Amino acid sequence: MTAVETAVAPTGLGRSRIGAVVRMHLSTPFMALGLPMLITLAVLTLNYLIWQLILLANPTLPQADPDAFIYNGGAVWIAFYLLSIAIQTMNATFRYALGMSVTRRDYLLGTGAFMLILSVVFVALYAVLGVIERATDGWGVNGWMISGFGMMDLPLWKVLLIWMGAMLIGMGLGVFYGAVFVQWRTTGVLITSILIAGAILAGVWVLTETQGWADLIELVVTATAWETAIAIVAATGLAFGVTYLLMRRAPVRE
Amino acid sequence: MKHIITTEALTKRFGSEEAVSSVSLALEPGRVYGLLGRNGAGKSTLMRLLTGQEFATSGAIRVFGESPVENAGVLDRICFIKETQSYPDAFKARHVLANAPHFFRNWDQVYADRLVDLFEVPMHRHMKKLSRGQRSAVGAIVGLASRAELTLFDEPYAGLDAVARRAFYDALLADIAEHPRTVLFSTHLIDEAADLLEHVVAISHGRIVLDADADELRGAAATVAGPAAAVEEFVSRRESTGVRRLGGLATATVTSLDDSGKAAARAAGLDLTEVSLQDLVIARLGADLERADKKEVAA
Repeated sequence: MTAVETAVAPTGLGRSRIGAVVRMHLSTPFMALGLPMLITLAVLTLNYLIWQLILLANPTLPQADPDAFIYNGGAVWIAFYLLSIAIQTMNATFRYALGMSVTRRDYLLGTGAFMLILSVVFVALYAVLGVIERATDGWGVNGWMISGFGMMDLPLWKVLLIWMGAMLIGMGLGVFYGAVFVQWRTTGVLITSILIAGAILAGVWVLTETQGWADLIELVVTATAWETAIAIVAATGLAFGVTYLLMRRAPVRE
Repeated sequence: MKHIITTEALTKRFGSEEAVSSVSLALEPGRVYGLLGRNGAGKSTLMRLLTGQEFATSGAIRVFGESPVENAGVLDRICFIKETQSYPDAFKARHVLANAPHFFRNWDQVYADRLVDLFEVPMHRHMKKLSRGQRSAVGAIVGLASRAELTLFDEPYAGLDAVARRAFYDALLADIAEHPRTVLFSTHLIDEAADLLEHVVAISHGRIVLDADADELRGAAATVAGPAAAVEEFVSRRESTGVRRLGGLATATVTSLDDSGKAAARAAGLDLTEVSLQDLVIARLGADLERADKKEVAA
């Protein structure tokens, strides 16, 4: 019989409840970090193979259409991954963590910190890939994944900031949906989705009615990096704030 | 601090159903409490209310003198182990026990290691792949090695076999002797756990029907047996749980019988036998059921 590694129960700052929640999420690091990194590399490899396949079938494509491979959504998957992992994580760990005498507030803060760690690690991976992508002029085939969507002319740090924002928003939305699922299960998720879709439609309606689209696009285009970053952090913070309001009255369902 | 837990008129409703009904309790520190009752009686709901996992409809709860709801200072001193505890899918037993020290301030890893060997827990198997008994053993280990000032067990050992259950009771008894703390545990297996219990709280239909010191209960109660007429005459002046007849003979459990009462029973030609805690609780719960049935018929 194998006994667990002997360790003394941590005390003081080393025994922070929020830290314990982060550790809980990172208990299976391959699932949390390793697997998505491997998937990112696999997506890049598959994209590269597809580009080569297209070039094999049509060798004159680079001359006919030099921009053929500059639009690629391969890097977006990580934002959707964080969204789904946030929902899944909340469902899998909320009851467990509260069973370990954690408050809802500490659970949410620890989960947010864990998500932030994931975002930082994935952005670091994107930074490495982005540097290589630029050094090789798009992997030698003018194919762009990290700086896709025509972002190869933007400074890399701006591209990374955009990805960080996408990840944070994906995570914020995922945590919010996770809380809705924990509290009201599938019915809650469906009703919330309908309400959100209704709110988006209402926004589109108002913008169209007031001819405000041009102003909105102008606002987005002219926003500085810091303004964008602040907006992203504010949106993520809002998602977490609303999530806490939902979760502070969430019972632990069997 | 005189009481570690107090509740006043604590009520929890789910829709029109009252799972916990105006419960008032006061539990003293350093004792082992048994929370007994039938399935659906309200034991688990009461425990979830005490640990802030569920929210009261009305009434007050104080644990360590404060509300437990979203109170890290209170929850930090509690360990609540239940049979239905869920674990993340990717977790193996070793993950549960590697995380526990970060959640419980008094965690004793050396003791946990010993318990892992005692219960023969396969540490490298996923929690969802463990048998019910093995999952129960992991819960029992966390509950014991956490050494929380207040430990609540909601039938965590229900899946354990008889040998493992005995090992659990022995480990709990030995450990609380060395590291005194308050334990509240719910169980159906009253006789098995009887030696452990210092105080008994029985719940039926969400209401407390018995809240008494275990030794006093055992000492005070007795079963009288003899001719039916003599038994009926004897219990007519005392609190009893009903007369059971068998031909011309009858038995009845008298819940409170002092020395003079026992002498009177013997003088009336009745035999006296001790009542087990389980019989006593069953008798109380049975009496409550009877009352509930009569109330329903009357309504």
